[in-house]
Amino acid sequence: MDNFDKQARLQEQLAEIRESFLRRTQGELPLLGELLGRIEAGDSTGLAQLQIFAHRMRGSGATFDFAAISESAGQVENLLELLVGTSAASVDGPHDLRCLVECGRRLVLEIGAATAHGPTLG
Amino acid sequence: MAIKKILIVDDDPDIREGMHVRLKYNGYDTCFATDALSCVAMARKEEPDLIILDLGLPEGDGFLAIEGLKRHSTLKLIPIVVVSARDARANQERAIKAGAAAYLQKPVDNAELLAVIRKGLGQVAPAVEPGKTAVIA
Repeated sequence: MDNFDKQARLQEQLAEIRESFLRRTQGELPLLGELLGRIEAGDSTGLAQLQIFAHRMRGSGATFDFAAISESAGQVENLLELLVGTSAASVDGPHDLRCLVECGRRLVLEIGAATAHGPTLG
Repeated sequence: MAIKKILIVDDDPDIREGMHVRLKYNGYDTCFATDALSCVAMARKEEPDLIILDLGLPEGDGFLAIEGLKRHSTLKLIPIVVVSARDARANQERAIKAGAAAYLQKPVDNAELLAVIRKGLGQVAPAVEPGKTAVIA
């Protein structure tokens, strides 16, 4: 295999990985929606799970050139760091949670948009 | 020259795979771990020449992995390159103090990552075959 073929193969592999990222992320949308619904209803047990998801989306979204996903996920993660790392007394509960859910909904929209405009999903 | 082995520690399978294909293209061998505990175990087993470490890991974060590696008499000598989406202002100094050789913010620039890897491995020349471009994608 010459250099041109190797480079073409690399680009092909990276495109496959990017598609895999989108497919997996799309599959996680129902869980994200459920977590946001629980948080909106006042159930904070999903915050830690949402934090893990947002952190992963922030890094992998940027890595695979989905800047909008990464940015929205970063906003969710930053808000969660404040909420999870702060005592309940100093958190503006309803306001902060409402901001978090709004950011989360924006993340859902960005993932949906990337899925619609990204590589074809099999 | 022996092929250098790099341990990739990240809980995201797509990021692991993306790094693997890029590093393989650039002439490196790879092995993987997904959390802090398996990082230390894999480092013992595979004896990598360098470790690329994410900070946001399940079952203990990347700092726990650095602590585990630095406690070991031989593993402590392996250069660690931290690659994280976490805020660099809050984590870079801590990572370097803990013993990391470098801290790169995700999304990582591939040219920069390769340069840091080569520096960590003491390689003055690219690890690719002569005449081949070192950094792709």
